[in-house]
Amino acid sequence: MCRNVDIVAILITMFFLPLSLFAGGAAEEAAVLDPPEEFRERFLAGELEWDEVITRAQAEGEVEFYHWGGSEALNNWLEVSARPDIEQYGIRLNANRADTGGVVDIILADDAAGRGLGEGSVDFVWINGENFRTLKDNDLLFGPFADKLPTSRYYFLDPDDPRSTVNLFDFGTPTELMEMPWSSAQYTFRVDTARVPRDEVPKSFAELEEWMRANPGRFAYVAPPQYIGSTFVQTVAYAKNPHGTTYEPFQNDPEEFTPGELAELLDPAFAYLRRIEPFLLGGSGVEDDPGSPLYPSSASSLEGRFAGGEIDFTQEFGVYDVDREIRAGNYPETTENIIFPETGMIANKSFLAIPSNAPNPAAALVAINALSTPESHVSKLVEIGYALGVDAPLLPDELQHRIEEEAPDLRGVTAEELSAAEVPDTNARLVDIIDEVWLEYIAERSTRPFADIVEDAWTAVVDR
Amino acid sequence: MLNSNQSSATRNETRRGDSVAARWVRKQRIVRGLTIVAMLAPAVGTLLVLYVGPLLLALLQSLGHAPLYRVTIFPSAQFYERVLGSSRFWISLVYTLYYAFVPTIISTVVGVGLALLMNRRYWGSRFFSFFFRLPLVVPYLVGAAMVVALFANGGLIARILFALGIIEQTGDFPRILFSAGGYGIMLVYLFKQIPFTTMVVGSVLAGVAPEYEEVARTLGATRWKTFRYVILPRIMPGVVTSSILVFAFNFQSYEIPFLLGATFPNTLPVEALRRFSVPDFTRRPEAMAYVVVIAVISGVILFLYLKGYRRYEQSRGGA
Repeated sequence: MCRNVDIVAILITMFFLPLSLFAGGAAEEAAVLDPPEEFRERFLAGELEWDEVITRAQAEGEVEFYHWGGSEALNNWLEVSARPDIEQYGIRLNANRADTGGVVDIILADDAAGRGLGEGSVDFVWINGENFRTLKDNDLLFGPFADKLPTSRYYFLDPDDPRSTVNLFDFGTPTELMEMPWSSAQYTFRVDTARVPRDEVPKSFAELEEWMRANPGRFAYVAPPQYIGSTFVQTVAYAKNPHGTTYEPFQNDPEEFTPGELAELLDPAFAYLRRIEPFLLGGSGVEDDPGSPLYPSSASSLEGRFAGGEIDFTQEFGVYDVDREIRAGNYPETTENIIFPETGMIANKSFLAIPSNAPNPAAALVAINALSTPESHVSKLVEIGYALGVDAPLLPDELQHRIEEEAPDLRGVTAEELSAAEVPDTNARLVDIIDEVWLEYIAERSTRPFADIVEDAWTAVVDR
Repeated sequence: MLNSNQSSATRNETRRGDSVAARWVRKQRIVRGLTIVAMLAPAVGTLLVLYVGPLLLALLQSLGHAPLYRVTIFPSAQFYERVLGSSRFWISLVYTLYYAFVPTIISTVVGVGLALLMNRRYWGSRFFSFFFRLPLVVPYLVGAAMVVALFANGGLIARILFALGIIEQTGDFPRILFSAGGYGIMLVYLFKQIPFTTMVVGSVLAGVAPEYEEVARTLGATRWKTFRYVILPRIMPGVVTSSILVFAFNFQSYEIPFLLGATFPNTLPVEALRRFSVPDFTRRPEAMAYVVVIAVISGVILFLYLKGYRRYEQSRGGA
């Protein structure tokens, strides 16, 4: 993909180079631009007016946006809403659909080829979690730009304000303002109320276990390390935290635990995951005999089984999805979100970040600013059900009203209930350990002592 | 005198002619050598660039030279130790061999049988042999989708059995996909590979003159003996070629086991990719160690197989 882009770039350059030599005007204007490194320093030092950034962005002329392309709704919204918002500044938007891990690969490869600021392939990318951490750990980010955009006033970014946490930490990694919140998501359990009556809907993992024993084979979760499955295991780990502090210890880096402490913290959760195995989809239905439980390998496989009636619950990120999926005919009409578990539903934000080798850094800043306006976020919410990245309390009254009136139906829950249950996600490196433990202890059904399994996974992540 | 003069002139002429001819021959030889090199270049070049290059790169990375991923501990056996020291590797190896060997054996036996059958003419045989080759143009992924549509627990067959009242709910249908048994994986392999083997063996068989069989039969050989001592040795090259290709594919294929296999255990290529996709890039050399080990194991197996075949050919030639 990256190589194709290069070939196209070379061909275009070969074609237009002779033209630009004669055209003169445009070439001279381009020559007047400061070197990109100097632009970065002056911008990050706050020495540039926003108008100067826009002028430079127009001279750069285009912007390369890389985003996960798996949602048709989002792809369409980008065309009808994001494109005009960005192109009104005279910048051409090139939206590239990709897998986020692959985008990180492109950025790394550009860097390995010695391409610095102004020379790479990616201007900005929709990102979060471990992918962001990889870029940050490798010093591949443009810098702390988020609070220098004009739209930053709609976001809690003050480190002393607890409401800023979700904007300043991404899976436990401090963002240090190197990425701008773009959307938020909460991990919700959905149930078909035609199959599970409302008064029987479980509220805790203990109640869920009882329900599973009464209805064996009607529940499933995605296999970690796929993130929908991984988040399920994290949710169990919060709820079964033996210290009763739910999410709190899971914010720390693995180094802050001894392997023994970590094993103690995770033990009840994994004991639970083993206990429910016989009653999962494909399980034996008999105590102590797991049978061959089936862990779907992808979120769409889980969703397909829910829609096809094989299981009665499903889990995904996105509180407005239920409404969208019902309208699209993918979910039964009677599907609802549930507040589960009451001990905490993981919520996080996803972000827009600029790599350190962005070919058009000023255009990237202008484009991110254009995608960070309250109007753009409300449009994304109303049109395609992507929850707000901006912080609603900071919005003008009239927009708050519009949100109340036009946001998609939350199907069975209220915004207050959801935000009351909200807890942060797990430290990205702890996620690696938990996934590794799951693979050995649950998938592989290892008979080694649990503490040894945790210690090996801890060592693999910490000792490098 | 004149005669002798003449003859000496001829001799001289001949000697001179010899050296010209020798030079010409030598030149020809060089030209031919260069031609061979030039003609091999595309194939060898492609092999070097597309196969040997990446493999060398994988080898370097697996030994700790991966500056792209910020790993520069070359040379280090650390990644191999981690791979070979985990029980998951050995269990995956067993399943990889199982998913590779079973369909190879079945498709070879069935493919040879079908090729023998189709070598005869009967009513509709042309249509049948055309129809039979259709799976060859269907991609493996489409084959996987078909297997899911038919054999999943909510699939077509389960629904039909449910509608007929043979099973109480679609969930009671025996689990063919996503289980360690790997029946789904092997079904897709067989769907593609039986026609493939049939085609390769069939085209070799078409080159075997029918007289051999007729002579053997007139001399009183049974059908089995005719096959065993007359036909089989002649189609052996086709059998070996097709089974090598089929085995190499089955051993190294990733997408079918990933789509239709169990979460665990699964094959080595699936484990390799799982490690490659860990967001922490510093662990990618571990995936490369997997890749190298996979290449070595399948290389050794194919080498032994070919060696065995060569020995078989030699023993036949000697007999």
